[in-house]
Amino acid sequence: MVSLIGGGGATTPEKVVENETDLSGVWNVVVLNDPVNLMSYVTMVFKRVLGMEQSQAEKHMLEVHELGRSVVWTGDREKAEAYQYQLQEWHLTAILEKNESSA
Amino acid sequence: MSRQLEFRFDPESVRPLVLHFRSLVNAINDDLIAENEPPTSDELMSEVWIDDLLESQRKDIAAINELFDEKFMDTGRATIDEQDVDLVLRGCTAVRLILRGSTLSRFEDDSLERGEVEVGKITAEEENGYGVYILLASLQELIISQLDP
Repeated sequence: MVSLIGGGGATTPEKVVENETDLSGVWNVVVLNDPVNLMSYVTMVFKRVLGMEQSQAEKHMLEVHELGRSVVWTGDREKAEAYQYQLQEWHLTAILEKNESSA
Repeated sequence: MSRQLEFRFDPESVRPLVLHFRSLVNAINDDLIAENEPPTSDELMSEVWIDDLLESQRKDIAAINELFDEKFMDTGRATIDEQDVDLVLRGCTAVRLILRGSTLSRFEDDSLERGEVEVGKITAEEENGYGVYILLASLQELIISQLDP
C-alpha cells in the first residue's frame, strides 16, 4: 500500500512514481451491510454526507440491505477518503476500492 | 434560534435500561466500535485516522450519557439541542453496536432486526440490553422523523 506521508528512510524517485500511480485513477466508496443500523438512519446518513436526494439515498440503502454492499460514490482518491472517513464517523462500515472499469 | 427536541419516557421503566447501558459504556475499551479500517496501511496515517475516529466516538457516547443523566432518571424527560442531534444519533448507533457485540451477541441478526427476541426466554441482563437496543432505535427513529418529516 501507499503512504502519503513519508514512512521514514530514503525514497527513490521510482518508488514515488509507483505510489502516485497506485493512488491515481478513480476510486469507489463502498458501504457494507451491518446488522445494527436502521434503514432510516442509513438513508439519512447518505443524504447528509453524500448530498443524495431521498430516492437516491433509499436506493443505495436498499442495495446495502439486500445485496450487502453499495457503491455510494466514485471519484478521485482524496475526496473518496474524505467521504469514507465521514461515513465511518457515522458508524457505517465503509471501504475504498479502485474502480478498475475506469482504467 | 436553536430548536430543541423533547422526549418523554416513563422513568421507572427506563431506569434499569439506563443503568445497564451506563455499565456497558463505562467498561468499553478504547477501540473502534464499528468494524472499520483506515484506507491505508501506512502506520502513521492509520494511527491519525483511528485516533480521530476514536475522539469522535467518545463525543458520541458522551452525548448519550449526558442525555440520560440524573435529571432524566428522575423525570423521564430528555431534551436535545439541535446542534447536538448528530452526536445523539451517532451515539445511539455506537451504544447499539456495543450491545450487539456484548449483551446481545448470542442472538441472530434476524431475530434482533425483526424484534423476535422472546423476552420470557432470556436472562434479566439480556432483557435490559435488548430494552436499551430497542429504546435507542426508537429514539433514532423519532429524531429522524422530526428532522426529516
